[in-house]
Amino acid sequence: MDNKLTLLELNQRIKETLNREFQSTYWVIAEISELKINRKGHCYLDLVEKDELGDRIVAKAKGIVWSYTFRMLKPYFETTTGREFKQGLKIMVNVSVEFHELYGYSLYIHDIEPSYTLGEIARRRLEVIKKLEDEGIIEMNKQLPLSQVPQKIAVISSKTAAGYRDFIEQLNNNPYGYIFYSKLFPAYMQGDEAEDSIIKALEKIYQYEDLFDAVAIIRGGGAHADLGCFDQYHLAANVAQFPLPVITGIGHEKDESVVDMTAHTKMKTPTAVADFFVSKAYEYEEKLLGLRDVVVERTNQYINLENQKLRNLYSQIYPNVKSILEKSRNILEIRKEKFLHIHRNFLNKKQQNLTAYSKKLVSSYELSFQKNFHELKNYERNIGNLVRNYMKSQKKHMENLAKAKEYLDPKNVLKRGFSITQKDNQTVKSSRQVKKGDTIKTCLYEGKLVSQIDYTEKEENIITGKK
Amino acid sequence: MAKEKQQLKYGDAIEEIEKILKQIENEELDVDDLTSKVKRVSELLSLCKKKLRTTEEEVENILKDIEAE
Repeated sequence: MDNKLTLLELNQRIKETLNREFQSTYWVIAEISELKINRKGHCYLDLVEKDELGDRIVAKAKGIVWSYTFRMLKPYFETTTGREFKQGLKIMVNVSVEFHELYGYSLYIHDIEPSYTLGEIARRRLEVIKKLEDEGIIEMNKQLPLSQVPQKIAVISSKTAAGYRDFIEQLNNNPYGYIFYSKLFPAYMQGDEAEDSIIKALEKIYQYEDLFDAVAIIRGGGAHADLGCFDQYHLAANVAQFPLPVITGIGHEKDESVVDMTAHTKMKTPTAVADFFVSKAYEYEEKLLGLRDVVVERTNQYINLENQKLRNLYSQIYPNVKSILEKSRNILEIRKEKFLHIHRNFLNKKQQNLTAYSKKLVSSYELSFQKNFHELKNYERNIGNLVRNYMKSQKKHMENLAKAKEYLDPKNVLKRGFSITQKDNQTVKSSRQVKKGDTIKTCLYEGKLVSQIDYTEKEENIITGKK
Repeated sequence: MAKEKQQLKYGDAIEEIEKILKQIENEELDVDDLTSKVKRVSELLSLCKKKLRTTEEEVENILKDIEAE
């Protein structure tokens, strides 16, 4: 029992042995599982190694970066890798093995090799990309048609971020006066919570999918910020499968992030994203104006063509019409002449007729006058003869009458034996005037007889023979 | 016109103008149709220009009402 030691003695012997055995420094690969910085600026880490599947820790050690080292090491690492020096990172560090009697085993970190971490990041990034490719979703968002004028934009950013302000400024003060409607869906844009936070914002936008034309994921400032979340599988997969085109303006100098790769369009900065939307509207309007110019040009061509056709028709028709008109005018002239001629002839003829008639009339009048005159002369002669003859015959007649008067004198008649019978001083000319017993008086050349009627006979008139 | 402005889609406007242009180029239109179609083009143009530059309060109000957080 002589070889018994105090704890301090034992720890001292371990320390001596370790110092002797681990005199130099070693490059060690490990993952940071815990990280604390105390107020003096010393950095205390838990370094672990996991098995191949990554779910079981197979080795663990405490690590310390003294503040004078850490002040240089941290920015060096972060500017080189673009990643925040924090838990979860795989790092390659130069360590010395230390043992302290009171605090035990730890590794003092003197240097770091960022390119190892870069390689690790690149490897992990490639793994994520490969997974997205294998699942067939990496190009999905790119295949979405972007509205010709993405005017309604859902923005995922941090309310206070300078990048968001730049974006809104650039969008709303565009030189063409285009109107854009933007709605901010706030999210953490860096750090451990960023991935989940951005996915939640996407889910929110998904509820109002119909209201928006596109999603803009923007962040800005902080050149040394950790953009590791944008290489994460879940966020990249969400962006890839989002039903609206996603435009990124994450702002980083190195390789594009996986989210950039899966987004519809990747721009470098928030300002560039705003310019992208403005340029889309501008392109649209240019296209519209270009179409207008072509429509105007084609319409003018069309109208000119029609005018040319009309002119051609006119030049074809005009001479025809002209010749037709001239022909018609000639015909009219000829007809007019003809008409005038006929008219004149007609008038002349009529006049001649009239003259002839009047001559004829005068001559026939003269003729008839002479004829009548001759007749009158004849009449005159004839009347003289007639009067003479008449006078002669009347003279003869008068002589005859004088002879007849002697014959007819009743004394001469009575002398020749005729008598006149009277009844009541009426001359009896018929036997019917008297009847038996009547007294009649008969006048003779010399003396009268009075007798009474015995009887009457109806005898025929001795002169006429009538009964 | 106001109703059409809200419903008019930028892509549809371009499509309609391109269709009219094709009709003009193929001489499918007589002079009367040409006049009305050219009129329609200028109407679409002014509708689109207006839509690009005039704020629609309805849209703004809808976006304002969205609970984003």
